[in-house]
Amino acid sequence: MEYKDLTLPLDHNWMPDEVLPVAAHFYLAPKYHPDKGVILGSETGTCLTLPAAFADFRKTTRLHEVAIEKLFLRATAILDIAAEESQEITESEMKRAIEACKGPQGNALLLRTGWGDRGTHGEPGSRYIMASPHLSLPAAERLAEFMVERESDLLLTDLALIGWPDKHLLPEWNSLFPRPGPWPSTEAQIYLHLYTPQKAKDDFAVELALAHAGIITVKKLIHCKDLLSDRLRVIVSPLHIVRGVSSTCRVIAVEE
Amino acid sequence: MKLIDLTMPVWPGAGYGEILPFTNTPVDFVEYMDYGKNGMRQTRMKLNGETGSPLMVPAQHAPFDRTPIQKNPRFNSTLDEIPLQELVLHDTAVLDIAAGEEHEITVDEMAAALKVAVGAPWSEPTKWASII
Repeated sequence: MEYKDLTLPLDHNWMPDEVLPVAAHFYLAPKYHPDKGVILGSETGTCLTLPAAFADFRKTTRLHEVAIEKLFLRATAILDIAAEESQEITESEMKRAIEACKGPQGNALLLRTGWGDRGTHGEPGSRYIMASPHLSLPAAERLAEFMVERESDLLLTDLALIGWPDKHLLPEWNSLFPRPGPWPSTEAQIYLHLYTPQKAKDDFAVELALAHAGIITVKKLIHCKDLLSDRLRVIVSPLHIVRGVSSTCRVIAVEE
Repeated sequence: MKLIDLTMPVWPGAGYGEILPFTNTPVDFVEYMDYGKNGMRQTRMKLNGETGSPLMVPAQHAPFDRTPIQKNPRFNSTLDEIPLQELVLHDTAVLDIAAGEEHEITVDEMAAALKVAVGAPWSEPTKWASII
């Protein structure tokens, strides 16, 4: 049996996913500092997000209620869509990948685009987030439909962003130069103060389509390149947060 | 295979250690995006190194200082260096020592528990592949 770590490391020197105001800054404060300990966002690094992260689904399952069988040694099929930098994955590409996807009912699904194997997560700058391939809304809706048919409720992916928040978030935040830091920078606090539920619905339509189908997502995986689909299981280990809706997590692939 | 979660939950205000004169502080969550105002929830979490069910390594002050808290530890890996085989599907023996409130476990109790544990399945590594 072989184990592979698919987790984006939490690096106290620098994190590649702290680009947008919706991210929180990760740091380790040293001894005697008032913030001694670990400060991180609920979606820092490789992270699991429940449908309950969105207001429309706030009454659904929370982290402490997720059955462990959904996350531990879950049999997983791979959905391969090789994607270039900044590519938007279309519905037809998704359909082709779905036709080629094998595996029994109930398996988790790992959408592998190759983005987590390009090394951009280890480079300085914002490219890991800002040049991430992502799903178009029709592609996400087709994927959600397929997962419902397959009775699958866990989607893992090496994408840094699953959708592309270009209705408000990206154009508005990118218009600021130099780009401010993530939350809790003053600029991020002001920006989020004005970020309404309607803006979130527009920007996160892809994530909402998946959430509407009851799908748990795990994004920002790395090192998925060599995984073999026909005998793959995954261990997803989020923090056991009472009433939490998302959490940084460790993801291990187990190949028999 | 039966799965059992042994993890201590984490919640805002949970305190693990701050009753002692250490510099630990309670778990603190800030919802910097919330349902009403933003339509979605994002949380900034302040945890301690020992929040919930902690995994402790000898280099307690890493990454700022890699000096182990005791000299010459048998293993001195930091979290990112621990081989996955040490953490995943690791065969484990159970040391049974029933202990009540404020009970100090004695060397005799430990020796008795170890004696019973030796010879348990942990001495013959399980073939996990045949189980899953």
